[in-house]
Amino acid sequence: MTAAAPEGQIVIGFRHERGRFLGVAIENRRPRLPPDLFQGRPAADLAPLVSRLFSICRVAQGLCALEAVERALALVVPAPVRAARRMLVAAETLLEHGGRASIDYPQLLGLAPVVAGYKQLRRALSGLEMVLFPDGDWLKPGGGRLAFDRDAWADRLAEARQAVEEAVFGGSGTDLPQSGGWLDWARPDGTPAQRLGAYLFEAGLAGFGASGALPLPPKPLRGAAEGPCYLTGPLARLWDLPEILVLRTEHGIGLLAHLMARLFEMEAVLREMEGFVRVFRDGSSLQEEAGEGSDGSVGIATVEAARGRLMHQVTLGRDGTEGAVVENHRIDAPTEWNFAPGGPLERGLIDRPTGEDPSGRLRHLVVALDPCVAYRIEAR
Amino acid sequence: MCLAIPSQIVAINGQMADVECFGQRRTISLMLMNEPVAVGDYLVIQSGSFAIEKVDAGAAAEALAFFAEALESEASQDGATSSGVQ
Repeated sequence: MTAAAPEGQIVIGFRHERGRFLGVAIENRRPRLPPDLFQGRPAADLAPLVSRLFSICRVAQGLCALEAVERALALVVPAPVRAARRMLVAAETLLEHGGRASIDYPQLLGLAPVVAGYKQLRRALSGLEMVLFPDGDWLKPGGGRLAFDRDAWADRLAEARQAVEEAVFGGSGTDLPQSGGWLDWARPDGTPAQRLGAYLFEAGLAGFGASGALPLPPKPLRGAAEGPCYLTGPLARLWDLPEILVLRTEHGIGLLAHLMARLFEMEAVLREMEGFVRVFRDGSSLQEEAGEGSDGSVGIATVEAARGRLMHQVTLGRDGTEGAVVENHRIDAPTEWNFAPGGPLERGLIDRPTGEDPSGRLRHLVVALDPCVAYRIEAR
Repeated sequence: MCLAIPSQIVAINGQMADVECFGQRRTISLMLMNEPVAVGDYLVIQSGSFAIEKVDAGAAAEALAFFAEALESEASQDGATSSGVQ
């Protein structure tokens, strides 16, 4: 259907022999943005530009860049604004997870995407920035004008929950399986998520791809090929959830754990967003992301985006006419961890059985780790 | 990571559309769009295959200018392959 995308893609090449994966290499065939792309730009322009360029995750990207700028400028952001921003990231996370469940899971099973449910979810969650920041200044350093439309918020959330429960969960979020209930929930005639669960059990793939990875710590070390392998994303975030602990114990951090973590996170996000009215009324802030603070010109911010931890680091300088301008800017994306050499993808495949369709089996793990970019799988 | 270069619709055939971006033409699906589209509109494409939202012409022009600079910078270098992901 499609020729090469201008955004490029990552190419995942694998080797296999005698029914076992031997290795995988990931090749980056995407355009490299010049490191000085934003250099000289007014600091206030960085977040809107980032949001426009990295528009698949435009909310998380924009807000992470914004918070890095705010830290560099030592701006104090009101707690309700921080809470509202978190809700926007939550909405994007819910939408992205819904996309995996509605588009990618059916494709893994050779089925058509669940169009109606996904479109309903998109209608519910798109443009929530305007519900919270009606002037459109949600990316304004220091915080835009927050004017919370409670009725609009409640209506949007009701539609989102309906879409998720019908198209993804196959019932109420409270009915998601607790320990021991996986087989009852994973029906081969249910939603794509339920069908995928049933397939994983039937094919003996519940634990496939378990890499021994650890959740990405707050200050991870890089570059040690022999060191720990770090995982970021919904499974890392829900690592200690009792239901996930049971899954990790029974099946390791394989395909089933990834699937259920995504679903549990969707329910958790829905509840958090539904409870936002009460939080906003109290003026309390929700859990904030840890940042590195500022040394006066450098700001570092992290956001737990849909696919995992996103980090922006910005160095600001002074321009006589523009005020604070960008001198340097760097982004660390979740894909860097999950698809790194020696990372969860590679370690989850080595010496694993290929089955009769090695590419198809590998695709399951790629979807579970969710690279956020187009990809192609090649046998080498 | 998350890059999405706006592509312009050049032809529509039912739920499919031909889009063009920096001289590259491809066919994508409109099945996930919640709003009507027309030839000349700019779209964000996810996973190389599905249009997910429209981009207004001004924002598209700004993004395309940035990406044009990036592609020009890449073209002046040798290759672009490496392990790991940017």
